[in-house]
Amino acid sequence: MESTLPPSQASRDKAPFSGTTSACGWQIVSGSVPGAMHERSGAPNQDALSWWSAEGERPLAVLCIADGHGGKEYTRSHIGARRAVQEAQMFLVSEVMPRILDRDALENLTRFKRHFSEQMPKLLVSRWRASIYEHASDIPFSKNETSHPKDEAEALTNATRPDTSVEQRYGATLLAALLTPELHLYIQLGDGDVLTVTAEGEVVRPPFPADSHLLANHTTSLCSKDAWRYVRVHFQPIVERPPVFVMLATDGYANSFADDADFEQVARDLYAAIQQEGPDAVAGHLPDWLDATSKGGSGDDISVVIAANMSRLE
Amino acid sequence: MGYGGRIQSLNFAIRDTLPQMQDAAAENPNAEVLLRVVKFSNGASWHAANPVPVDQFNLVDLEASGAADMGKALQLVAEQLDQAVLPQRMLPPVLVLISCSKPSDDVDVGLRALMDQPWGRKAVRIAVAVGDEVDRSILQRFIGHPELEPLQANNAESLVRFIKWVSTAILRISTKGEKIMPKLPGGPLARRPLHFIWIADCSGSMGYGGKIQSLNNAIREALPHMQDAAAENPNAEVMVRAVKFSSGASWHMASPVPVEQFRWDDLEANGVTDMGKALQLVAEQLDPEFMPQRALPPVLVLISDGHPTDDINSGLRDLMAQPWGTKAVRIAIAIGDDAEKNVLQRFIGHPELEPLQANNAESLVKFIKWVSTAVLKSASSPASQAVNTNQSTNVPLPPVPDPDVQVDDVW
Repeated sequence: MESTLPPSQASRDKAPFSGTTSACGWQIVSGSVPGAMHERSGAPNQDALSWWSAEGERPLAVLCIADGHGGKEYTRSHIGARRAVQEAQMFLVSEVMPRILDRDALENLTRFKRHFSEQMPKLLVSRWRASIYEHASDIPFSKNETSHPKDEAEALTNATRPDTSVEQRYGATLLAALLTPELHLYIQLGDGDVLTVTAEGEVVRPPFPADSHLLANHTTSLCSKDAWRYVRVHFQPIVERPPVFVMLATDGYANSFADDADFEQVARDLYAAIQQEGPDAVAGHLPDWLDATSKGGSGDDISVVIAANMSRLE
Repeated sequence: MGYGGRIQSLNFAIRDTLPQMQDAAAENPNAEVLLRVVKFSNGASWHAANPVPVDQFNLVDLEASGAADMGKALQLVAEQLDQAVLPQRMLPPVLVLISCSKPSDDVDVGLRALMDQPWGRKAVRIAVAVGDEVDRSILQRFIGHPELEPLQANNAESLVRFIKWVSTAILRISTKGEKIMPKLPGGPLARRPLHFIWIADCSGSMGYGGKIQSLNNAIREALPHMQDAAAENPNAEVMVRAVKFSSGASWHMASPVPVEQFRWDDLEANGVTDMGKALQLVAEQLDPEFMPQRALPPVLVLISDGHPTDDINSGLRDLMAQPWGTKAVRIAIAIGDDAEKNVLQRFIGHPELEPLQANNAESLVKFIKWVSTAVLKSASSPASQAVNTNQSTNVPLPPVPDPDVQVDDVW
């Protein structure tokens, strides 16, 4: 299918961990900080994020965020997270977005939803698997490879079990959002949060079915057996007023608050801050906010990518 | 400020944060960060009068006594913010007001003096309320911005966190000379709760050979180490309680107590071994109604020297029927050779971890210390675990210590 995509901007692979860009409507702000706990242990930031946006009459955006598991068995989960957002973004931009822009999807939304609800999870997982197998082939595992050894003795103690699968070593969650004027598509595999703010200022979450596995430190994952079964997809036709603010965050953020209400206040506050101070100011302060939140809250890595509809905010 | 260790906590918080404050200041070598301290009680005075470069600053401990002449303190600060004293090219100063009580002098005079100074108005003003007796409205007037409220520190840990925040994040922003976005997005921050539950056998046989005294001593001796281990991960809020079982079961300490405040009350031995009932009591508390979804996996430590005398199957079933029961880190300590190892193994539920066998007081001490420290540390900062993978335990556990085998003192 010939691409109908307009010129675009995207996050770089080595994106700064705080950034902003504008695309005729969607202003994207992102930030990512290593957790206070991980700073103490020397572990790298296990989160990854990416975004894509396009100029034109119809503002378009794709946001992706992933959280590597970081434990003893997950020696390359920070790489798994990066590959997850790269593959998800590429898939959504090059294969899903054109179908939506082609109007075919919108004219037969039921058929489109059925097709992609079945196929998309399998394609996302298989693309990720192919990517990490490619990485593993290029850079074979070493005998005593660990996630973040402090010294040789610890490396031997914490060495991965020999029967750990390739997928497990790269294990990560994945959240994504595809935003067009006519349709919003939300995807979630594992923990983390998607929050939207309506034009009336109400915080709303996509109505995903509950994932009963998300308890304590357990999560569904790209590396889970039959991972595609755990992918949750929600199609949101935009009939009247679209959300003015969409936020994807890794679970380190929500885990820094006592309850959902306190966390959902984040979306309201960031939305208000972008309205009052502008996205550049928010992007500038986001690392310090996330850092302070991690230190005072969960201690985990925290990443967030936000799309704010500036044409609605003005 | 002398009550409840507040002044010691404040001294500790400032001193403990100093290296990070120096690192934060070093990130912008173009800003020369100078520190000083005003103290107020009966009157006010400079505790450290001359501005000292942050990399040379050492805190002399503050002491608590007297009233709270906050107004005089603000007047002292105002005098030093006079434009005649300060250079025009300096960055906005950072003023951090810390108080635990209502002012005892004319604070309006002090506030007016401060805000009459241009540098007073331009300053970054943060307030920390220590405890509930503070007049927050006065601290709010000191801050002068509706978007930023006084930081409420009701315990030592939150005081340390807030002192760290102003010493690092706020300082970092201030040295860049940017406008501060004072309020963190979202509601109040919260650490993740970690529930640690001792499940202790107090049957009559625990009275033989000094076992119950050894258990009491072991838990009490391990407590400071447990507190130190918990302090290594300040992002986990460790809450401790205990269940005892003999003839029936009951909460020995029912309400979860922060580990810093936990004190052990001795157990006494008498009766049979109703372990099943103990597990049912624990299961009730692991109901999602009582356990927030964001909590860390709880740690359950079952200690027994005998065979259950009630329906252990129901107890195990009830425990494992709770999602938090299956996610918990479950450790079992067998005291003596008569302990029913099969039951303890079923409680643990993982073939890779066996019950710890304590045949003398020294081994018991060693195992109690291990669960209170190494296991607690692992549980307080667990990595995510993917479901439906080849994963053995929920939380990777540290190596088990070897028991202390002694020939002449075996239970």
